Amino acid sequence: MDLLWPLIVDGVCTGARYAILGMGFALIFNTQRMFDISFGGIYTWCGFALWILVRHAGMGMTSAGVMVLGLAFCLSYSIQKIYMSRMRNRSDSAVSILLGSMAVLIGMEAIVTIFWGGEIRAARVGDAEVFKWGSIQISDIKLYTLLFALSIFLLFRYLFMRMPLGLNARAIATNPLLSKIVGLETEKIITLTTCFGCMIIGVDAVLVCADTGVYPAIGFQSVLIAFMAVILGGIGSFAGAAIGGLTIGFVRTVAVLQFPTLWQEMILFVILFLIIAFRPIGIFGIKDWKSEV
Amino acid sequence: MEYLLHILIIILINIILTVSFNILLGYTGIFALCHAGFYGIGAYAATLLMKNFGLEFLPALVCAMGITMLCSLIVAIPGLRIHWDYMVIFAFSFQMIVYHVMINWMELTRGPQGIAGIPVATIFGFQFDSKTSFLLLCLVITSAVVYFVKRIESSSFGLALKGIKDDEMAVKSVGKNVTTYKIIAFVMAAGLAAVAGALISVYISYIGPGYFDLHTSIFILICLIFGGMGSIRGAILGTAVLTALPELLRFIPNLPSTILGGTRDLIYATILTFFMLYRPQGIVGKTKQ
Repeated sequence: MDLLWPLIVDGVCTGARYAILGMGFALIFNTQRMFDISFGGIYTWCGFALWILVRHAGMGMTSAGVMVLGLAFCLSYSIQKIYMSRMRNRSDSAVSILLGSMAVLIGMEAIVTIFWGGEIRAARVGDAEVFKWGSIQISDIKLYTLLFALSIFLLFRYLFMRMPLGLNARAIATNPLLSKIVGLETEKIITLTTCFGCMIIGVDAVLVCADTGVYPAIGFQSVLIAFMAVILGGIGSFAGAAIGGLTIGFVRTVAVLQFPTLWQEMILFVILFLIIAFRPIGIFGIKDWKSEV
Repeated sequence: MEYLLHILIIILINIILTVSFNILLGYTGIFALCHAGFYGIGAYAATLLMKNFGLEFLPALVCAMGITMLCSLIVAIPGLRIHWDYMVIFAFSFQMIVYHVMINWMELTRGPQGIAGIPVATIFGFQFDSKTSFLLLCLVITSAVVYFVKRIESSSFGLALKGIKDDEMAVKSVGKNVTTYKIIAFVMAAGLAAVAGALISVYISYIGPGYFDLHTSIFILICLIFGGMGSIRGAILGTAVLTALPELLRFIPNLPSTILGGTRDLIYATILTFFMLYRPQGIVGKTKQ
């Protein structure tokens, strides 16, 4: 029982991390309705950028974090403008978009591997500050993760989605053709929304780099987790993605009680496998959206 | 010379993988990034049958194919009923599950260490222990696989598969059971991937999870896109070029392995980026009219 409470707290924190990823991807995917996974590359680059800014340029964690978020926005904007937008114009096939963005992801990870190798890089110097309540301990980064997850959820769910950009994005998600007909600049709105999605992903990269550290292949890992969160929560639902991410992180951590740690990762994929096999629309999924051919 | 033979053998084995993946993505339009998983299941099944049960190469190969085809049904039956974009993630997760089983099931697969000391291929008492003889064996098996896939391409079954890719509704409307066709194509492709798995295990006499991870699946995919989806010639050409090309990097002296791996990935990524944008039909593929 001594283990239970710390494990639950840990589970919620990991869940919050995954929820951030899920919300970022949900924003991208719900608007585009395409598997644009280039955000994985941005994740890796953001993580490494924070490491370089803090450890090599000697910047403070907060200012470096803000800069990295700016970088995430710019990187995402360039990728969308230079490549993904052309891909979307040329082909409406979702497989092409997936493959194209996967190429961007592999390329970005490869560049990081060439320059900095495959080791884990963490930005933190020294020990973490730990807060205690009775038997529960929580490190500062984990507390920030919880706070960021909650604020991103509230900010995007209740503010962004009601602002002009968010409303337009929702219109495109519901009916892309009609949105074009009524004169919405769909490409511009998709690009901007994707950039905001990538910024949310960047927040997660910053938190992970500050805590446990990043490595080149973490981008692909983040894509998998984001996929899972969105599928579990249900395609088309922003809140669903957050709850999906939270559930996955929680289950993954608490599963240690029953299964050996080696199998932790595998449990995630088994959950994903079972969800798609038995309930492909997820927990909060929109029923009429392509769950059948 | 030995090195050249080695590359030829690897190219031939990879051709089996790409040509079989072509049945899925090229003909039927099923995007399932788990081909390396089947490749791995085939390799481990053949290895365990040969090492633990003392089977000869051919019976082990046939049994490995059977086992892999059974495993592929786990993905095919639920996966091919749902919409294709769920199938992408479904296959993805299957690939990861297989990889984690290979890494973590110590008793069976010996985990990250892999299984070493796999006996050389023996058929009716003849041992393929030299590189030249093994190259001949690979040549025969790969040709058989390519011939088989070629026959599928021109058969009514193959035409139905291509029809499913172009217009699934139309194929349904003429009374064909689309799901059954897809499942058969999927199982067939998995079985052929197992052939490549059995060959690689006896060739390097060692297998480890690293050979069968997501990267391998992506490599097969890139070979096919580079050559041209839906074309056997394209699949063969793409595999030959992309297997041989990174080998040139080995001639640069004192190149650390991370840079080698990174550069190889960057080459693949660049090829994929440009081909997806400017020539999605690949080198030899035809433009869709």
